Amino acid sequence: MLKPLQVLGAPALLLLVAACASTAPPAATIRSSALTAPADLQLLCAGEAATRFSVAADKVLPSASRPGTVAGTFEVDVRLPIGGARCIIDDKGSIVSLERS
Amino acid sequence: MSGGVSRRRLLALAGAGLAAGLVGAGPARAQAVYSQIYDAKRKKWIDYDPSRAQQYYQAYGSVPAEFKRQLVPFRTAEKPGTIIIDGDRHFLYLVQPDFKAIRYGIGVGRDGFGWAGIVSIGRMVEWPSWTPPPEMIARDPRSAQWANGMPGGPDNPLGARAMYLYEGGKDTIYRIHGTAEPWSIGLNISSGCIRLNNDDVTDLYSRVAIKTKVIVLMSGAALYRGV
Repeated sequence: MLKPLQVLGAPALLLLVAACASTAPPAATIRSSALTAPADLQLLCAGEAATRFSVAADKVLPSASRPGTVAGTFEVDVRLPIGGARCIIDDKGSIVSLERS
Repeated sequence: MSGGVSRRRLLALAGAGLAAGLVGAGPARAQAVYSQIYDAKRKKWIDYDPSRAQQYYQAYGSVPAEFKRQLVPFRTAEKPGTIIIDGDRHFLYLVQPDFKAIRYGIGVGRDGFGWAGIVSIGRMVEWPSWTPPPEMIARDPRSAQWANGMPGGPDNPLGARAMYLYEGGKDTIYRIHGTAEPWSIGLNISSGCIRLNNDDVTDLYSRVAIKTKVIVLMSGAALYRGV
């Protein structure tokens, strides 16, 4: 006795597979046009700036970020009530440096 | 702090560019970071614009995987329940315990309409109504039919839920809301509001409350300073 797939035959089976595959969305396909620091790293920098410069945390906000000059780091600009600061943080969340700018 | 958004500027912009139905307005300068999608046939990254977003949604019935709701690691000192919006990467994070967050894909303000700041949820509405501002009615007479308010429903631009963002007890005129255009997630398309697809905004709405802290990050965007 023939099984259903044997009745359909290999070409029909391939068509079925192809039909399914054609509607499957591709994997990881999106990026940003500019690489910015992940939000959690930006906020770690802002929190550290608030502590180090004795400023209320709700008055400190990251304003821009970009990859650092050293691989695996990001440079984060932080707004303070007066002036700003520049923070370098690695991708593990460790602050490398933090200085008023 | 420089680059603040004045009341006058906000009011001037309040009715501008609300074609997508957003009740928001924007500062003079905003981010220029936008999404790109990999074209496997041409083997290169191309801009993820409204046309491509619609094509993708039609082909796959959903947004790209990156913009789907998911639990992700998130190292933060912010309390669980805090909302953090990364306008550059088009993600909204809802902080969870144990250094995790629920990440949602979002649509954000188009060029010139982005903003940054620390605000909070001041009001929450299910299936909100929407009223086009006078400037929009003047520009698009078709919207005049909703001059007294468009009832909530699947065609309403605010979608299934709206969370009204307040600062210092006042309405900022920005909202986190759903959308009648689910393909628009991942785009810089709004007038400053944050949009999620209706399933996601309903999920988020069920997890937050009035007074939830909302931190909005966006490269180069002016700081929200009240209206």
